[in-house]
Amino acid sequence: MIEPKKEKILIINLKEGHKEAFQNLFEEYGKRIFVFARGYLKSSEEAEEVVQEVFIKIWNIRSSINTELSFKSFLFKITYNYIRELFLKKSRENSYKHEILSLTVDFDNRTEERIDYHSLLERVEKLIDELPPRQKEVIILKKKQGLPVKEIATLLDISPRTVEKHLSEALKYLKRELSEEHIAGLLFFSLFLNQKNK
Amino acid sequence: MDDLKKTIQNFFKNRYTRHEYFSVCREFEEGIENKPFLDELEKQWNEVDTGSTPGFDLKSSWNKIVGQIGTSTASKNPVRVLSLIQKIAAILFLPLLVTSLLFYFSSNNRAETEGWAEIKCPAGVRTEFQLPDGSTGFLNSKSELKYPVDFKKSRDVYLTGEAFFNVVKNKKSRFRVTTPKLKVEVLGTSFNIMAYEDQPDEEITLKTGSLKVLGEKNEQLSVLAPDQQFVLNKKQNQFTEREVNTLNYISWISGKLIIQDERFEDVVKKLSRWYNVDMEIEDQKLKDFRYYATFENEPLDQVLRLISITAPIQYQEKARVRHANGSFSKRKIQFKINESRIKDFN
Repeated sequence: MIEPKKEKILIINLKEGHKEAFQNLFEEYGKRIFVFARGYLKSSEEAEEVVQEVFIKIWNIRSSINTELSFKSFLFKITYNYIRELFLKKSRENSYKHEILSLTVDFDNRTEERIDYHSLLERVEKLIDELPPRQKEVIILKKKQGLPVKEIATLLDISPRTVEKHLSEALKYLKRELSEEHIAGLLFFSLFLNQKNK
Repeated sequence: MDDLKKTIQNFFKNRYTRHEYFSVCREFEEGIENKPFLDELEKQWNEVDTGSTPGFDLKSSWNKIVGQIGTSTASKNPVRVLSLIQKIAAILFLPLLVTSLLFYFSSNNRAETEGWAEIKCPAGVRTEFQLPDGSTGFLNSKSELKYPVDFKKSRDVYLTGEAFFNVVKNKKSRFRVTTPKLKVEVLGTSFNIMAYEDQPDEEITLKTGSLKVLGEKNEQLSVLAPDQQFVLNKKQNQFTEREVNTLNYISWISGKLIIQDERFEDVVKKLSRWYNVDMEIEDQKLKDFRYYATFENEPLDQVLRLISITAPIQYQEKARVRHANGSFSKRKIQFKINESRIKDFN
């Protein structure tokens, strides 16, 4: 941790365009941004991207930084905005996985409150990836791209019935692999449950 | 409140339920006005454990940042140095009030005309900009815009790459964009210019108002009306004009990539700029293949897959090379004709 007084001097120097002060601030806060961003984006690559974006932005707007306000808090707001943007983009891109999960896993209230959803998402991702190529192609075009069966049939040059067949086989397989006995390992311990219900 | 805290802590630690996942999504969707969530996040931000961070290399991350800001510091330096000289000069010459004032004013003028600003957009990124006269616009990936900090005398900007301009009307001062081969003069309009060095054409597309196109020797080549496009073939040094749907040419602003009857070689150049990936075409024949497509915020892998199912084209990804400094080379994609499917498309 840099002392507040020293940090203020660093920021004044940064405003003047001194790269050394900029580097000192990067060394102080870079890791914090990385860890925080990774916690929400669940990807080291994207977290590193956030670190870079935030510091490039800081450099570009350095002259308008208010030295009277907390720099740490200022940095938080910029970081938050980048994380939010990426988080929402990612959650849109991933929405098909949630849809597939809701079609294949039987979420009654008990399961919903007990299952480790993070691991479940990783599991379904892996399962989709391991599907036979045609089934994988069809399920991605249908669920991720949202294409109608007819269009998929034209694209892949197969009949709509074959598309339906691939789709139902893929879902059947996922359903089996995500059945209660297979995902029992993903249930949280009761200790965790008790904490949650308090 | 307590629930919210628990939820974000669980989410952060990768130990969350489905219910918790969707509540974090909803909190993010609400945006900046969502004060309770923001406050809770900021508390978490303050308490982040930065002890051990595998997967994060401080040094290489810093080098990448320096690489990206390098150019913008160089272009702004002259202005700052001059203003510092002015300050020193003003103090030193205080007793000789008249001369020092003269010096100050004359050097002040010089400083203003010599100050240049530069906006560079790296590959894979698009950015919005605002100019000193209030005109705004967007800069496409791998493009560069230079302009004098002082916009009072003339509004002159220099562009390589692609940009969309929305120019504020000022009857007294014309706005001029200079590209490697052309000049465009307007009073107040909106228009798109594509002038990449590695593209065979320069294209000017007018959305609203009117616009004058000048050649390298300032000779007038054309005056455009809305939805007209001026195309210069750089190799043959010949230009044509045509009526177009302007929206197709400015769709990049909103993250859409629309390709209409373009040579595959040019499509690949666009894609490689758009996604910041190296691409090459193996078969000479394939370069002249005509292609239509619209891509909207699609990840590259999806785009490649779509290309390979909608055309007799196959692609292959080359392994990344690790450089001496630990960074990796860009992704590299190679395109080939898919001979086994070519009959399906004839």
